[in-house]
Amino acid sequence: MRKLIFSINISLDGFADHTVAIADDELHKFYTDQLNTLDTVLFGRVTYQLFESYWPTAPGDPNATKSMVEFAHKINALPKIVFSKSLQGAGWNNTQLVKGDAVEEIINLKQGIGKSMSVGGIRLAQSLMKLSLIDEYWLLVQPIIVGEGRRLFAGESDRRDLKLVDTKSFHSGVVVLHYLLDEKKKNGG
Amino acid sequence: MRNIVVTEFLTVDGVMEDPGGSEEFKHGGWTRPYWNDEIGKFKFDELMAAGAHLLGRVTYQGFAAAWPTMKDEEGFADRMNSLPKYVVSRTLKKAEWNNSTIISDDVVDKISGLKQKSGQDILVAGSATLIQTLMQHGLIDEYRLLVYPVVLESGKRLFKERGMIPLKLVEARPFSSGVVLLRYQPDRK
Repeated sequence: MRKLIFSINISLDGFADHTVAIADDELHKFYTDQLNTLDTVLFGRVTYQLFESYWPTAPGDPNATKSMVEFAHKINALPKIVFSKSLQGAGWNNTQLVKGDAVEEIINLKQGIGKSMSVGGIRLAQSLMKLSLIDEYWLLVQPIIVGEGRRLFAGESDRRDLKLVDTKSFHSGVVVLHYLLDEKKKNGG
Repeated sequence: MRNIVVTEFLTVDGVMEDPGGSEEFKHGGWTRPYWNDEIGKFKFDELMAAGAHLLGRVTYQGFAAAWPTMKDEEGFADRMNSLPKYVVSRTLKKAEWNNSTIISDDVVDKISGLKQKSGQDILVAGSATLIQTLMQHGLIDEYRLLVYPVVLESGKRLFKERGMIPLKLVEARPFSSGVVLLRYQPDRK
């Protein structure tokens, strides 16, 4: 079974808001290192469009830092799949557009052979979380309370127990919490 | 100047309700499977370093019903019972737990007054409603959060306020049972 991982920047009060993420070298290097463990990145439409609007051009952007350019090279090259019924095409390098049912497709992908995959996109991730299809969570807790926005854990499931694997702190005050879904406790046992 | 320290047990999704299981919450007692000596020592050291408790009515009444009859060798219960307690409530007429003072009006002024005197930390535990008032008036000096590897998706949350509060990470420390201590101070630049 291929592993599906989910990394997200969240505020301390649990809102997924990339605009408050402290996007410094440590953060970019963290994500680049993570991409090196994957062979596919899965996207929902919104996040796909967000990423596609910048990363393809980042290597040529004079304002982009070295760590950003390294991340850009990596993600531009990796095989990507965007799940969307409304998109007409996916122009980003090495990207496949899938119009069918995302969850079904992803279950199939997990049965296949390969390295781990990551999912980017709140809505897509939430539907996968509900079905316990996400194996690993990387929560990058930003040192800020934002008060409103889109909650990552949006009240659609019952209790879940996680297993803490490790933590990491960046100089910016960001704390990475790395969890696995706790198989033993998955059914409230 | 004394510091007001908000010290809470929190799930990964920010729920603070009924960690010990003494209230009527469906998921109450969610901290129990993860309790260990490390966490016990952390809470013990915290209490020994504190000079007072500042509590909302509901938390106060829960503590007042439980602590007077508890006894332990290390002296945790003795200290809970002997430390000064300030309970913020307009409706409470009598506070019968040892060494209690009711703050029923001029709440912000009186709490600011408590901070002006010298002394050890003032701990705020539980007290979800009182904490909103303290946050609104910038009275909190430290958030000390024990994050448990559990997602509940229901229950009272710690952070409910609108509006951004930038924070400075003071410490991030994992415990062996999967709990992570996160300590923050408001970033008052």
